[in-house]
Order: sequence, then structure tokens, then C-alpha cells
Amino acid sequence: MKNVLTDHKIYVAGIGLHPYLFPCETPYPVIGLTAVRAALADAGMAWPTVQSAYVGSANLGMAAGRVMLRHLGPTGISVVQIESASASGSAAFRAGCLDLAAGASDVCLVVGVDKFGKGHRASDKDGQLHLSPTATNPLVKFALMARAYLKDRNVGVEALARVAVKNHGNASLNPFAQFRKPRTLDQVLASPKVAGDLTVQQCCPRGDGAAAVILVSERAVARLGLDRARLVRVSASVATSENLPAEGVDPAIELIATSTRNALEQASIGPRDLDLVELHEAFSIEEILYTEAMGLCAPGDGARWLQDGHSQIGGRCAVNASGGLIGMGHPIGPTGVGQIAEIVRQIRGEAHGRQHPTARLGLAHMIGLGSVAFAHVLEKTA
Amino acid sequence: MTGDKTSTKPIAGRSAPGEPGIWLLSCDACGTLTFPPGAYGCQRCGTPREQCSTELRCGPFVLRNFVTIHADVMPAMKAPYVIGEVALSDGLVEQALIDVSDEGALRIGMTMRLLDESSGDGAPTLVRFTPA
Repeated sequence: MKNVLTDHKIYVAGIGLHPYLFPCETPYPVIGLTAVRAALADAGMAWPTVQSAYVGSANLGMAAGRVMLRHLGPTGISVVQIESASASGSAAFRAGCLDLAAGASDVCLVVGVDKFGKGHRASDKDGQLHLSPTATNPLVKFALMARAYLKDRNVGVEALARVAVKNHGNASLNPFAQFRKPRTLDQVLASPKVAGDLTVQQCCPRGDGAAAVILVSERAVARLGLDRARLVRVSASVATSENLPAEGVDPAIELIATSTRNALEQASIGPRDLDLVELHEAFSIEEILYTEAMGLCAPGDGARWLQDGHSQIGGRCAVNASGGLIGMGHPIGPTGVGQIAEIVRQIRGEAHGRQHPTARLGLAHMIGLGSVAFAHVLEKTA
Repeated sequence: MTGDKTSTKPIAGRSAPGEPGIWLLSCDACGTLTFPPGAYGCQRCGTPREQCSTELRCGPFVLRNFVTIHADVMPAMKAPYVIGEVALSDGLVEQALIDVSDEGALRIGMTMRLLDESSGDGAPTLVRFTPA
């Protein structure tokens, strides 16, 4: 598979976040510009250095990027807004990578910014009738997948709850996380049931937030004299959408497996080479299913692999060291960019209090409404 | 039972003897069945709906999975209620409302019956399944 990022080296030079929040009255430019200014400061750059901008947002409406970025001063650059449901920020990040790889610009801002909205879905406007009004609801879909997994693997509901315990614990160490309290297994299991075996503490919160990164080309590194020790390379970028798999294989699982496999092939690594993975676990069952689908562990071993501590910070591969969607939060547009920021911070060795000891290779993986996927591999360079 | 090739069908209907069933889109090119019947093309090969047939399936419908929804996650539906995955034909599984007061009454693999609630024109108005 052709990888334009092999021929054109792209790096993350700066990261910045606004803490993820419960829905609030703060205008989105305040939240977004906090992240953008932090990313610029982290990269040691002034705003006029940036030559293009990609904005991931799902709920703000038209032209949210320009409305926000004009407060930094007009520079006349390209500002493109991208929406891909939960993966909006990941899609914007990929667009930024391809922009630089194509040589259209050398310094690019990618920012995800959002406020909690009504979550309008195209699948509710497609003119199609469903047997059940829940047919397009992700919570119900994953509650059904959780029930099937527990039955097929003959494991108890504690297997699901352990995902939330780990990720709430990681989030409690992350100053940008929406939830900052560790939870015990008993607390997670005793929280109110929402759907099937999923309790409320196994579901991601709604909220507002922002995350930003500065991407640079190899040419910009030389021209701007950037410190290579703080650069993290983007060694793979993949986008896929749902296919019709063989009977008995869930399309969502096939989507995860294919997108991950393609990204790892682009980066010339295997799943067991990964030190860090940030993945979409809006609901606890997803982390178990996806660690299997990604090949981090054997099929059917996801629950055991987590219980044995392999996905903890300090384990074989830290999964959702940020706290993930369940702990850090899922403000939609920012989430995928926040994953990139977390992996960059870890690879730099700057994740104080939650640092994974061997952080060289990371995978950021997001899905959007279970039907599109984005996968990026990030790699230590120095 | 095969219907016409062009109309936008409701998702449920009745066979000539009056048995309730679910309409599916049947691809004339590859034979794949698609739900809903109003899909704009075959889910496998993309053949336009206008070049497909519709087919009323009256069973057997098989329950593949189920959960109780405990919270009011859908504006129009008051919890608790039960959602199942029902096989409408081989390889075609859809979420559906299950008409039981307690999921304890269900087991995976059981045959389901389409509930017979109809308006004046005879077509089922609320599509729900219950154990046969």
C-alpha cells in the first residue's frame, strides 16, 4: 500500500489542549483559541508562521474555523472545516498530513473544537425506515455487542467494568480530562444501568473541548530551525469505511481490523510493536473488542489481556493512557486531535504522572458513527 | 411472494392469506436481500432499487441477541424496553423491538413472530416481534 508519508516526512511540532468540560456557557472560540495558542507556544511559533488550517468539528455549524481563528489576526491562509462524526478531529489531522505531503504548505494547524450539540445524524435523514427507532443509536449497538461478547466468551460483566476502572484511573492523572476521579470496580458496577450490561460509568460523557497540533514538513524543520528532539513523526495515515464482511463478522470489527492493519503496514511495524494506543471506547466493550481486532492480543483474549494489566500504563502497550473517551471525555471534534496530543506527549516523555516508560510508537485510532475509521501511527524520531 | 420493482414499500405488509411479514429488497443481479426495502440500491453490489424486486418474508424470524434498555436514550421511547437482533433471512439481521415485559422470557435462537397490529388498510402499523 502506497504511503505518501514515507516519501514526505511529516512531524508534530506542537500540541495544546483546553481541558474537556461538561457542557458549559463558554463560547467555543475561547476554548478553541486556548488550545491553538498552547500548540503554537509549544512549537515555539507565531501565528503568521502557519500556512494552512484544518478544523475538526461536528456540532458548531458552518465556518466555525474562520470565526474562531480571525481572533488571532488575519493572515489569509486556507481554513478548511471537516466533519466525520466522532472522528472529525482525526479526519482533520489526516487532511493536514496530506496537505503537507502534497507540498501545498509546510506548517499546518489542526484543531478540533466543539460544544455539545443536538448530534444531528445523516442516518436519520436518509429517507429510510427502520424496524426499531434505536437502529442508528451507537449505545444500543454496543450494548448488543457487549451482551454477545460476554455470552460467547463466557465472561462476567466485571470484564466490561475493568475498562472503565483503568480509564477513569488514567484520566484522574490527566489535567485535561473531563473526569478526574478514580473509580473502583464496585463503583463502576453499581452505577446506574443504561443499556444491557453497560452502566453509566462505562459510557463516555458529553461535553465541550478543544485540542490542537502543529504539523510541519521536513522542509519547515530546516527552515525554522526546529528542535528535532521534540518532533514526533507521523509515519502512517489511513482512512477507511465500512465494508460488507463475511457472514458472522461484525462490520465494525472488520473496519477496526482493516484500518489498523493498513496503518501498521504503512509504518512497517506489527501490532505488538506498539507502545501506546489511543482508541475509541465510547462504551467499555469497544476497548476489549478493538484490542483484539487490532492484534494487540489474540482473538477472544481481550478481557483477559486487560485484566492481566497488559494495557495499563507500564504494561506491554498502554491503551488509552489519556483516560480515553470514558475518562478524558469525548467532545467529538477535539477527540481525535486529543489522541494525537496524548501520544506525542507520551513519546516526548512529558506525560508527568502517567508516563508510559517505553513510549516510542503509538497508534491513534478513531471511528465515526461506527462506519468510518482513521488510523495514524506516530513515532519517536530522536 | 414478489412485489413490483419500482414502488417505495413500507417495511411491513401482509401476504395474500393475511399473514404479517417484512418487506425486503431482492437484487435481481446478485440475489442479495437488503433491508429496508426502500434502500436506494443492493447492499452488496449497488444495483439500483429500480432494478431490484421486493419480497415479503413472513418468517421464520430468529432471535439472535437481545438487551434491555434501562434509560431513556431515545426521545420517543420510555424505558425499560427490550431490543433484539432478529434474523429476517440468512445473514440479514436487524435491530427490532421485542414485545416482552422481561428479557428473562427470551432465549437466543428462539423463533419470533411478527405482531399483528394493523391499521384500517391491513398493514402492520407498529413493527414488533414476540416469541412464537
